[in-house]
Amino acid sequence: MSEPALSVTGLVKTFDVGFLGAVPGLRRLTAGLNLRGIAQRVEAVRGIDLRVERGETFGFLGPNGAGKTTSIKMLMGLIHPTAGSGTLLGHPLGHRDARARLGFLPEHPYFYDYLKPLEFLDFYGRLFAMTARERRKRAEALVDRVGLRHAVNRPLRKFSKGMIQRIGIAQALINDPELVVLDEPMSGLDPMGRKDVRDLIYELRAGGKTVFFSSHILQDVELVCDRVAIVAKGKVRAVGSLEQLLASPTHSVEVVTGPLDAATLAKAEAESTEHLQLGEARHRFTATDEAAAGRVAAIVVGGGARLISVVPQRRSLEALFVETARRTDEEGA
Amino acid sequence: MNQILAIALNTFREAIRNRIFFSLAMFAVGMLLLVMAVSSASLHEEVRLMKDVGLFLTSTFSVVIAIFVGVNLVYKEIEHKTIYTIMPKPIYRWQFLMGKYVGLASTLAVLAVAMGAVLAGLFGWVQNDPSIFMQLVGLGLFWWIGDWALQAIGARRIDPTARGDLPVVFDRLRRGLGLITATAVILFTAHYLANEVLGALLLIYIEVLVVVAVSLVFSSFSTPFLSGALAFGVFLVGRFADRLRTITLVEKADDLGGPLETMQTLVRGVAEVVPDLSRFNATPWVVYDAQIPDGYLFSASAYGLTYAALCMVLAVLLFMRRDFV
Repeated sequence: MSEPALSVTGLVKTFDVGFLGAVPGLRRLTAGLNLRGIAQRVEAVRGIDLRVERGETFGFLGPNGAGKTTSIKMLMGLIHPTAGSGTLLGHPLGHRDARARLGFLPEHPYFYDYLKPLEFLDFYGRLFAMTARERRKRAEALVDRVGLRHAVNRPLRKFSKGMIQRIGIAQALINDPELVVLDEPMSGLDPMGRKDVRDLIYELRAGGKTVFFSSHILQDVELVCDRVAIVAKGKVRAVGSLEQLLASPTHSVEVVTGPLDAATLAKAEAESTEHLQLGEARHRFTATDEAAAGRVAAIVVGGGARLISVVPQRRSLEALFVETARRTDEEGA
Repeated sequence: MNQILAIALNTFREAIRNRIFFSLAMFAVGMLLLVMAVSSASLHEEVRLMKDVGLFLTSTFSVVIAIFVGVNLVYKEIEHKTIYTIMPKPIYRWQFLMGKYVGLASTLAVLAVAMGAVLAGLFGWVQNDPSIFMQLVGLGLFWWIGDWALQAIGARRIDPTARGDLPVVFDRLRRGLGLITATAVILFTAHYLANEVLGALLLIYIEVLVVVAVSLVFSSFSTPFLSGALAFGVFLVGRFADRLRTITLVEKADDLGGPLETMQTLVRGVAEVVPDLSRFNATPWVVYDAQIPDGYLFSASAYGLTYAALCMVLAVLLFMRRDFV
């Protein structure tokens, strides 16, 4: 098997918070005591295992507070893991050589707002020790690529949220990275902005780059990802391709009909698990499987009513996401 | 090295665009008011008084700015989350911290030269030689008008649909003009200020380097308010370190072993640890027109730079352990 773009095992992060939480040595003394608000341990990430192959677009999903951003910060070397290990582009986490081939956009990015776009990109180019000519060429190309040519003479403090996100993506690509990590790149963007980011991810994938991004906008994830991981309460709860994760047997079947007389309605209700009247002229029945849906359809047709549609319901990513989060809550882990 | 320079350049640019040099204008106005007050209030001692108060103000202004900017230097990067996009780049944490330090030190060096030029102009004025002051104003005008003209001409040459800021050649011309003016100001200051005043300014600058390093140590683990308070405390104690190291609180034998002796030991201990900033005060030489011994200049500078280097090592060690949450 080829070397993965990213691989982590048992990644754990525990924060010592509270008034005395950060005092070194105190945590051992107070381990058994209930000192909520004074010296407390918070387990943000409880053991993340992940493997992202080269060239794939990988979605990292989870509800707020699941540990997504903390995990990404550990991958980026911004936070030291409490336990666990991993590699990034063949080097240990935080290694400088890996960072030279990496692009990163944090969630809600803030930048030096006194800089203009080309100055801003030039600064990031310098951090990669690029030559002046390379920096200029790359910055000019990226400004065009993210659609900010009209704003090159404007300092970043005058940028809208969408424009900040675009210039943020440009800085993540200044070194033509092999692996691009985007933390909630669609957050706060309007539909056009989200489409632009999606298109950019498609472009990166077409160029053979590995894209790892976190999001809670499931529609975007479904559209662009090869594989996803769902994280909840600091652990990966499900991981795989969308086909694998959503390939459960048909979840349910919806039967929509025209107006029904009372007798037909009663028979159809008996064969279905749920009935909803949609306005005056339509009924929607939910059947557990295709056989039950067939029986409902036969009753409707036999009763002389109009059959409008019979649609098998696949399990959606949203359903899987909600189910996973709920199950984690119930298990309390 | 590239990374350190990139961070340093950006820190310098940030300080300039955040109008740190407004403080210089305040300094110049303060000094002008002082000249007027001193001229009318003192009899034949204008120059001496002017040197004394001028150096005191230069030192105080520089240190206040150093603490104010120094304690915010790292904190702002974390608070504004700008550090999130920098640390994942191929840069070591020590390079980032060194870059911030070098950037601020460069900014404060420019400020020190400019303050020296203001002092030179005003000393000339007090000694009834206003031409020095006029030359200084002339240099300022030369740069201001030249820079404005280059920007105006350069901007006119930009096709609205074309790329970028000013054409590269105009950017380079502006930098060149700035460099020529800066060199002229340095030469001007060195020419008109007596050697002892230059020596005193050098020591003030070394003191500022120490204070910035101390501020960075505090700011690498705490908030700007606490860092500022701690750094200012160190500055105050440091200024009187020579006297505090030999302070005598226990005057009677009866007090031995009591709280007074504990206090005395504590004060003497603190005075040993904080930087001895009294070493950087060369005012006595300047006021009496005496040459500062070369050996003193060298030893005080070496002491200051070593202390600053040790502080930077400590700041780096603290910064390397830090999580950017």
